[in-house]
Amino acid sequence: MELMQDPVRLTPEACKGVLVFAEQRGGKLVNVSLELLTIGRTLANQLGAPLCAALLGQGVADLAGELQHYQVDEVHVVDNAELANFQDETYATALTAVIQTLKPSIVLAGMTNVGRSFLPRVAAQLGVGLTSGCTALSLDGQTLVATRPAFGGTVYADVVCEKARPQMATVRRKVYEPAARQATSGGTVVNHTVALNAPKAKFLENVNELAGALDLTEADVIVSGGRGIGGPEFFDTIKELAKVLGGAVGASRATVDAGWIDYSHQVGQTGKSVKPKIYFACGISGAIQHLVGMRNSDTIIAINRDPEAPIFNVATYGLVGDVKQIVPALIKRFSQGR
Amino acid sequence: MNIVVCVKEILDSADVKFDAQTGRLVRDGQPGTINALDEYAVEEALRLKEAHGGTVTVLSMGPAKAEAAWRHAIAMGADKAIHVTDEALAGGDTVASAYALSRALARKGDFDLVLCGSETLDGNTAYVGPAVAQNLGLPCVTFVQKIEQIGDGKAVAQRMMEAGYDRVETTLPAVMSVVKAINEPRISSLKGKMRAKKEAAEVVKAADLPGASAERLGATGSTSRVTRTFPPQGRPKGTLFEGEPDAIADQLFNALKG
Repeated sequence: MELMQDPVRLTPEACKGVLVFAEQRGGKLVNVSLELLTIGRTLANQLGAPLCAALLGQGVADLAGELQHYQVDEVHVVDNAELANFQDETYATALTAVIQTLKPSIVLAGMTNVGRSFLPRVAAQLGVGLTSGCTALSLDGQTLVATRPAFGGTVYADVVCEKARPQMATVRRKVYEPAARQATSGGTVVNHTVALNAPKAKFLENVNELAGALDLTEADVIVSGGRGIGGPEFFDTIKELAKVLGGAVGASRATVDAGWIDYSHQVGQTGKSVKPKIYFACGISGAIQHLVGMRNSDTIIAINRDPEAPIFNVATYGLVGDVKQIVPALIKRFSQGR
Repeated sequence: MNIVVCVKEILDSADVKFDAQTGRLVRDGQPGTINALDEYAVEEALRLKEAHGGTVTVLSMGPAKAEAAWRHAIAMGADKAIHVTDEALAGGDTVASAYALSRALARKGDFDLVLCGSETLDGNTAYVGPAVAQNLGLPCVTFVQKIEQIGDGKAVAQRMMEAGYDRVETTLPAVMSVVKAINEPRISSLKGKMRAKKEAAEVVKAADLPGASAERLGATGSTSRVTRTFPPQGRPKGTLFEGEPDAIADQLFNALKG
């Protein structure tokens, strides 16, 4: 086993501007990358420095051109067969190389599974911190102030890394509005050649048995079921309401542990953190472990028999009654429209 | 198959306090527990040992008193424990902690696999697993929901993604961080609990870490600083609808339309 050498750290004087990691999957930019271009532009303007994007992949010239429609000053591209799919080591080597050449003051990436997997490797190579899962970014002079929840969202902290460069952060989805596409393109594309060896951990294939199902973390509407729905059968009714509303299906930990529904649906501390426009909590009592995963939703609708249930403390609208009667009534009413 | 499982003692998230001056976590007098996701890593290690033989060593870093996590792993059936603890490591951020852990793993050596929970439920950074791998020049598979096969110096694992999962083939030794879909952790036996009470961990001090530079450890080695902590913003008081289901549905429909 080789112990890596101590990194040569970049100095604040040598660094300027903002670099956004433009994550693409299957040749399409993920939404959070466009959201990062919004805050990236704000920070770059305040710093009086350029906003750059880093794009990794194979055959991504068109996508680089597309990024030029988002008021980006420079698009830095590494186009390589080893980047065709996400692989931690090659992604980390490529982005680290771009950072060492460009020397940005701030590097931002989305808190996606890809971002969370390889950004720590980049930060470790550069010997700098990485403030993970931020919900707000601002500047104090040249210093990035990154706000993030900890302890499952029971406390928030402002974190700074004033001496280290770059200042790196991953940002949660839907914190910022996506950047608006401009009709005209601008800025320049800079191609980087990075030598990439075959990684030790190789991508084989993506398997998606639920292809076409809505991604919980991107859904605008989520209908979640909890222990109060009584059994696995009622998830069919939950799914029907989700379908009527064009939403995705979520679940509490209790229902997942009971085997009523797959873990990929779980919302909360040991599941997914979501922020839809509308969140329906059906028969969910509202344990803190569930609340931390959904309390930032725009509108929360709670359906519960017990008017004292803690879920009503975070609910925009509380529907008191039998979830088995109310959910079908909602399906009927929302199917009618008007 | 020699496996090291990294486990962390954390505090119950419902009851945390911070020092207003330093921004550091106040641990005094608070009972700790094993990070819940680390339990799944311990379970997976025990299952691999049962199938392939070898040893399960649990590695934990924290204050001298923070023994709950490694003792829990011993109670579940881990063979031995290493407790990395030193005042020089206190106050370390994720970068300094990943550095110290990677040095402790290098000191241990002789492992095929390092397992850990995908994140801790206190820090929620998911930083340490992949950063440790980077520091050791090892491959890492994060968010593992299933290890399909392992042996002969390689493994195939499923990494949970937002859409489905990626199948990843890695050489060994490797680091894997696991999600809770991977297994159902066992309940510790009475015999295991008795053993855990008596067991002594191998204590590793900062000076024992091979080639570790003091300026990269603990608070000294930390590049990040917490400048402020505050509670989450409360939500405005909501509206309750009661009555017949159809009437409630109608009220909600109109409220959302408005």
